[in-house]
Amino acid sequence: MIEKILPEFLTDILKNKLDYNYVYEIRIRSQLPIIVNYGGRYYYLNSEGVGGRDDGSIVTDRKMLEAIIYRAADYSMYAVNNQLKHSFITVTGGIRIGICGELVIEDQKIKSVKNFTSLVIRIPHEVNNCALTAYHFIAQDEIYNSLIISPPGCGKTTFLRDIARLLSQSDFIRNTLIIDERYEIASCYNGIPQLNVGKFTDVISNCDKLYGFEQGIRAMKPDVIITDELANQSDLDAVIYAAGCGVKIIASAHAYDHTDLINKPGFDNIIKKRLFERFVVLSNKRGPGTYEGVYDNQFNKIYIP
Amino acid sequence: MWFLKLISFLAMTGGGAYLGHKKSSYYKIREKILNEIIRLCDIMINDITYFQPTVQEMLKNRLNNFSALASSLSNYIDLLENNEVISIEALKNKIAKGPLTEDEFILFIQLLDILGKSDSHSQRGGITSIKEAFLIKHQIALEEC
Repeated sequence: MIEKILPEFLTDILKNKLDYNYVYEIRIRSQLPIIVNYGGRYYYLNSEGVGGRDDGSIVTDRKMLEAIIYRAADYSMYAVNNQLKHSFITVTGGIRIGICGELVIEDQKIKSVKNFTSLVIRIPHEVNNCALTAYHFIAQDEIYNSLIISPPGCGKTTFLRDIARLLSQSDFIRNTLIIDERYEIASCYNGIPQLNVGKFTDVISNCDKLYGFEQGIRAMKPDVIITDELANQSDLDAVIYAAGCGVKIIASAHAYDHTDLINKPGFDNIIKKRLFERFVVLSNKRGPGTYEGVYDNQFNKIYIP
Repeated sequence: MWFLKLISFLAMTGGGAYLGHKKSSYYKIREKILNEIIRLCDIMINDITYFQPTVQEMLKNRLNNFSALASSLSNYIDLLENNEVISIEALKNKIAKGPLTEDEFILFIQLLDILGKSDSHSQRGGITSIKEAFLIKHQIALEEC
C-alpha cells in the first residue's frame, strides 16, 4: 500500500531496488536526504537503492511532503484531522505516518498542523509467534495482568499484537478488547484492522485510555484489555479502574528495566500495589523483540532466555 | 409558388419551435445542475459533520443521485484516483463546463477545489458559503426557465 502514498519513483526504488520486507521506516525531511531504516540500520535512499550520503541520495522538498500527506489522507484532511492533531496519520495496510510541522492553535486548542517539515513512514511487520515464549507465562492457562517494558523500537507493539492473536488461538474463547489510542496495534483503517489481531478481538481506536477502558468495559464486557504505552497518571488510572472491574490487562510502557520503570512518575505506586503480576522485558540486543526476561510481581525472574 | 411559400413557412415555424425548445431545455438543464449542486453541498455538509467519509467515498456513494452532475463528479473522482494534484487549473481542464455560465462554472470548480483540504469546521464553512452563492444563482436560473 506504500504505492498509494509515495510518488511512483520512490515506490519503484523501495519495491524493486530493495527487499521491501526489510524496509521498516522511511524518514522524509524537507530539503534533506531521505533516510531508510533497512533491516534495522539507517541508510540514505538513492536511485539505486540505499547507500551513503555521497551516493546520490534523494532530497525532497516541502511540496512532495505535502503531496504525501494529502495522499495519505485520501484527499480528505478533515477525516484525519483528529489524528493529525496528534501528529500522525494511519494509512491502509497499517502504515503509520508521524508528522512534524507547525501547530495551528485557536482558542488555546490545537486546530490542525500546517507547514509540514518532516515525516516518518513506519511500515508495520507482523511477526507471528514473537510473543509465544512469553505467552506461556502470561496468558496460556490463566491470564495475568502483564506489563511489557522496553525502550522505544524494541517490538512492544508487535508483541502486543501477537498476544492478541495468540489469545484467539487458545482453546477458550477469551474476548479481547484492544484500546488502540494511536492506531498502532490493530491499525484500523475504515474500521477494519489492517493487521492480524485475532478473531475474538474488538478494537476501539483513536480514544484516550481512560475513556476507552471505561466505555469499553461497559459496552463490550471484555475478559482482557490490551493497550499500548502507559505513560501518564490518567493511563494508570484507567488500568486501576479495569483491574477493579476484574478485567485482565496486558499493556506496555517505555522503560529499560524494572528500576527504570519504578522511577517513572506514578508507576512506583502501581508496582507497590502489585497490580501487574508479570513483567516482560524486551530489548534490541539481537534485533527488535529480544527477550531479556519474564518476571513475577516482585521482579523475580521466572524465565531467562 | 404557393407550395414554396408553404414550405418556407413550415420551415420557419418548425425551426423557431425547435430553437425555442432547445433554449428552454438549456435553461432547464442548467437549473437542474444548479439544483443538484445545492443538494450536493447539503449532503456533503452532513457527511463531513457526522460520518467523515473520504471525498471519494462520499461522492461515489452519491453518483446515482445526481444524474446531471454525474459526469463532472466522475471526472473529479478520476483525478483523485489518479493521484493528480487538485488545483483550479487541473479542474478546469478536466471538468466540463456544460450549460453553466462562466461564473457558475468557476464557483463549481472552487467547490471541488476546496474539498478535503481542511478540517471539518473549515470544510463546512467553505461549502456553506459556496452553496449560498449557488442559491442566488439557482433563483435567477429558475426565473429564466
